[in-house]
Amino acid sequence: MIPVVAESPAVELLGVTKKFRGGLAVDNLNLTVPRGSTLGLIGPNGAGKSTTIRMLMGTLAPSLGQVRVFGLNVANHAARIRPRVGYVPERHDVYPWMTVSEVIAFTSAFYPHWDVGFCRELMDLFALDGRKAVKHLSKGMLVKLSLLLAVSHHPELLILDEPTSGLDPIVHDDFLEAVLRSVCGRGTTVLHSSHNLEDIRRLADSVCILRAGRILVHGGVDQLLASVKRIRAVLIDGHLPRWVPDGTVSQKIQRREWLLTVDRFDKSLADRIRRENPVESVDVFDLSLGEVFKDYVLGGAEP
Amino acid sequence: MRIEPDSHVPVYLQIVELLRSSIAAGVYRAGEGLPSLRVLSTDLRVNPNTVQRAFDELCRQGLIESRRGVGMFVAKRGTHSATARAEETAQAAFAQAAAAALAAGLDVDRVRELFESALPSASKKSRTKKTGVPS
Amino acid sequence: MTRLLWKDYRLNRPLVILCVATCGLVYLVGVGTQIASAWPQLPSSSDWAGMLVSSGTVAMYLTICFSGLFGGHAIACERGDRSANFLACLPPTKLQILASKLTVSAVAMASFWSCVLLTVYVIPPALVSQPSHVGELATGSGVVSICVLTFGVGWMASAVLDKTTLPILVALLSPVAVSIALILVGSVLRIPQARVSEWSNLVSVTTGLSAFIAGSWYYCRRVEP
Repeated sequence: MIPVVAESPAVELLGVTKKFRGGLAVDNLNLTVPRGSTLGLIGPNGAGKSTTIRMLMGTLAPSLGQVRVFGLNVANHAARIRPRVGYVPERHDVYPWMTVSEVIAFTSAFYPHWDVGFCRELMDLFALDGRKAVKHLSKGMLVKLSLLLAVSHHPELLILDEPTSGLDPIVHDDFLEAVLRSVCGRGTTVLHSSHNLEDIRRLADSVCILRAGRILVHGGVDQLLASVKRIRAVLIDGHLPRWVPDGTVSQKIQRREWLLTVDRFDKSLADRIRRENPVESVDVFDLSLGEVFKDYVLGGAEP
Repeated sequence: MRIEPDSHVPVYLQIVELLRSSIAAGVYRAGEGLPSLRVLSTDLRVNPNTVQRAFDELCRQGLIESRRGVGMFVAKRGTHSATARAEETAQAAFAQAAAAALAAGLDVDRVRELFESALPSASKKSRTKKTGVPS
Repeated sequence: MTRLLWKDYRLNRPLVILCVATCGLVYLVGVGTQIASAWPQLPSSSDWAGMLVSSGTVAMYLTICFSGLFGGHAIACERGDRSANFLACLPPTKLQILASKLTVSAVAMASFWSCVLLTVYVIPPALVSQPSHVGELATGSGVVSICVLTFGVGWMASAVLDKTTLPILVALLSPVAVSIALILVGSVLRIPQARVSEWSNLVSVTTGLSAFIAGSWYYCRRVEP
């Protein structure tokens, strides 16, 4: 019997490690994406986002650990998983010699639940010309075609790998609209890797920040923004900080100003900083997702 | 009105604020339906889960109510509550501004002065906004 | 499945055209020389039969190259333009993908072979009402076994490599390699050359089939597209 658990999460990574000749690309990753949620996967280039996604799609084997989609091990059940997944890769390797209509006809043949009406709706929205050969499409059009192919069968899991990089603002906006149109009211799980933090903010329920193949932080976007704060303390002349809080993500001292970004912030933390350190004043600032991301990635804190 | 994805304010609260101000301004009157989840989600370019959270919050505040299978409607006293909520929001915003000014080393009288001087220009702005073509 | 077959047909279409054109050229040259040599009279039916046999035999030897081309092109061609990555994320299983490729190549090869068979073994005897050429039947079976060899070796190389050039080259050189190997084995074990050449068909077919199976197995096992 093939194990099928109805309530299993859409995606589970269990101790997933990927070694390349150059070193570790993904290092003991443990991550769960519940069904119906949208996870934003962010991290600098080379953080292991694309490697992770390729392992999820079953086109790359993990060196260690297990990748499960809908509770099924990708290594053994890729053929059962793929009809339920839509994937917009970073590089669009659609058959260059086919025309747009041919690609659509080719792809739709493999999905029993292909939605012809929705597909046409997206073609209109994107102004895609069916007679045009794929190799003559512009970058923006190719991304649109790729998205159309990924969502027209209403996948249960949609995987987007840096889909909007290099798109002009109008195409970018069309892209977001199409993603939302396809996701709305269907309980689709979305895994969205991106450098565009505004997109992540708009689309994601939770985020996962990766660096050097490891998870730095993973949690709800709003919870993260509520718990990560920047504290600015003004040091008394000639003194240095004596007590640095545990959850310090990054810190920097410049003249009298001591700036630190802390995780798990609460009021008592600011008071304790005030008490334990030679400081004149302590102020707390909210951070945007972009600032949180930068502080985590550049902060050098070990996960 | 639009979502500020770069803000630290949770997106769902931004939507709550947006809808609340629309209700207070009379865009949606008591008993009228709100745009559907799908429409709001695609128009604002925001995850439907987030819009749903905003709906839940507005329901909790009593501004809107859900009619099963039909959608969201402005509650009977929705317009009134929305205005009351606006007061609270304004109060919170003033408090924050005042705290920042005081922390920066200004004294209380100077802060009051600044606030008074800001008021006429703000009300002028708001009037032109009302007569102008909405963008 | 029909869509997969359509896709593989379209991928192999340039090869099919190339092979048809080459064969056509061979027969055209045959017809041309025949007419030129008999000029101003028209060639007799036995002349025609001879011409068909000789052109057909040339075409038959060409099918060795064709099967190498089809085998070497089969899998690596989609890696060359990276479209294999696209296909790998669609629902068809690797077995279905392979089956479609094999079907298209097999149909193409079968049609070339039926053409050759017609012109060498069926039409000429009918033209001259003579018993068929028994000697050439042996040639035919030899060529078929070499075709199996080039196709199998090309298929395996294609399953492993990312570009079509090397697999095709390997496939075309495989008959040479096999004959050299046979000669070497013969001289090392001091077996007369005639005995060794009797084995060549068997060795070619076995090598071709095992290469084909090994290539298919490797392709199905390989995780990367």
